[in-house]
Amino acid sequence: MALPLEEVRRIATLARLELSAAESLLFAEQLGRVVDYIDQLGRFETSHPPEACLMPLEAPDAIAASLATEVVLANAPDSREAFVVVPRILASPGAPSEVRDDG
Amino acid sequence: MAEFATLTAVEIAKLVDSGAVAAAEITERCLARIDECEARIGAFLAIDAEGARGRAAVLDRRRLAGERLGRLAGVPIAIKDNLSVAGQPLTCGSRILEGYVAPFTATAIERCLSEGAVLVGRTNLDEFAMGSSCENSAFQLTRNPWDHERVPGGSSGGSAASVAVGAVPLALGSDTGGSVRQPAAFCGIVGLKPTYGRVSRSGLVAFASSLDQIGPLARNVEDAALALEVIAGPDPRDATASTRAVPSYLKNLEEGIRGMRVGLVREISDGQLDPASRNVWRRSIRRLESLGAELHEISIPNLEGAIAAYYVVANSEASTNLARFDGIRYGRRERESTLAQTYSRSRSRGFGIEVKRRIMLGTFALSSGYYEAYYRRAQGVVAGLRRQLEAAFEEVDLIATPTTPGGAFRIGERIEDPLAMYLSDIFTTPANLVGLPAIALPAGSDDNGLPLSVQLMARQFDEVRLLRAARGFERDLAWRVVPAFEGVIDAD
Repeated sequence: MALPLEEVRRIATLARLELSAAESLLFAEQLGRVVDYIDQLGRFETSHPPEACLMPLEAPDAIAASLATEVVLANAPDSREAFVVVPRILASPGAPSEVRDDG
Repeated sequence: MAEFATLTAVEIAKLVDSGAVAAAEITERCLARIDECEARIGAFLAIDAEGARGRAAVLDRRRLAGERLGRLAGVPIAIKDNLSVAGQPLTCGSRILEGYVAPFTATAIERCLSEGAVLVGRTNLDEFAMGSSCENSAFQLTRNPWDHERVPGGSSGGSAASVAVGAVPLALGSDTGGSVRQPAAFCGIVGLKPTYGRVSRSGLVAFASSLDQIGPLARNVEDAALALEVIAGPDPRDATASTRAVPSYLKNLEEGIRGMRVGLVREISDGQLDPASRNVWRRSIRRLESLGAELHEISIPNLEGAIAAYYVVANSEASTNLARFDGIRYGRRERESTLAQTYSRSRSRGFGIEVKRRIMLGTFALSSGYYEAYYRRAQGVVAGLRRQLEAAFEEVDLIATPTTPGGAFRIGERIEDPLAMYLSDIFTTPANLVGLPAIALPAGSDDNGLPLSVQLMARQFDEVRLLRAARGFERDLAWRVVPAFEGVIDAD
């Protein structure tokens, strides 16, 4: 069953993706089918899973040297001194509303 | 020297180490073979001829000065373009990494280099390793060397095709749900996914961190064993890399499969396999038996739920891991007036359709109201699968399955139907979900001459037994990858 378009838009907002109308329609149908398939998870034996995804950590968590600032900044689309330059974070009044995180 | 395209990594290392052939000569032969095939196959996103020649010259000088070059002396290798090499562009098959140059080298690659390997190029993949056909690469199609109208598999399809066509004897890929084994199966070569934690992930761009492993693609089991010996081991840069000592995988490799208990999964029915696969699978079971394996039926009821669980777990992790591609610190940035618009426009223009689909699915599964029903339940099914596999491994040493339900499919055949594409991973995802080592082995071919493959799985960190059994199977089959363009080999 296709996902409602409103739901597709809600997920896209959470995922910081801007979908075209055609992409939204395509995803509503395709994700709906995948979710229908995934719904069969209820049929299988479940054991109590860990509260979070736990990975075996065997090496000690030790502090070590990291990459130099200039090496990291070499990949930044825009930088000044030791900083990455970004557009302003707050929208000006009357501008289109910011992405809202309701998840 | 034999035809370059038929030489194995072990043979090349011997030739170069003994001084019989110069590393420079091997490198020239390799580059010539790439030239010959690449226009038709499209396995590489970048070929570093100059770097490879420079490196080979250094190796030859060192050898003349009396140095030993290592276990991969002069061996040309190709790497999937999601593995970092300092100073080289890295794309992950995506436009979002436009202009990115890796600032450090992946541990697995450092280890190959310190054993004398020569890097010749970066291979094509599905964008961010998401796919089973290489059709999701933002840059190019890769064609199956056995039939150019068919896919090489994915996501390490470029690595698999480069080895199958004889351009390189050895390549590295990454396997999150079958991305080394499935393309190895489609291209008639050997693909190994090591135990989770056996190989450091440092320098591998993360797709699903709890499932990803780097693994070798090779033309035979011996080369895969050699590669694993080189790349495995602890690494301070990856806390999930195991501190267990790395055994020799080459020693005792020829001891065969006799006496091993091999499990066959009751829940895998003939109906899940294409008719040609069914025949090859039945022959493979008889082969295992005739080699002295004891066959046991085992039951893994959650196997059928593995795909559903996998697509929830892998994509949830992917949606989180890929949040870092936002146009701020690296890669493509769309110049917008606000930060939020910069994020969403950079991502929307930078990511391809399959990556967006998977980010959407993962975001959905983790979002408020769905987390319990999808993510938690998927983790529960994985925990059940783990329990069932652990119980099975009380009874058996190995589990054998087909690697894929069928051979390589046609280009374009499944691209409109994501679910059909996902279902082709049915037999490979369990090893990732539970962290087990698994190997894909050539097992014969179908009526069109397309390779088919058998998968063996073992207990965690039991690669010694896995590789020994694999070698026994391979030796009996006497499969040789003939790197002709339209090679048809009837294995039996």
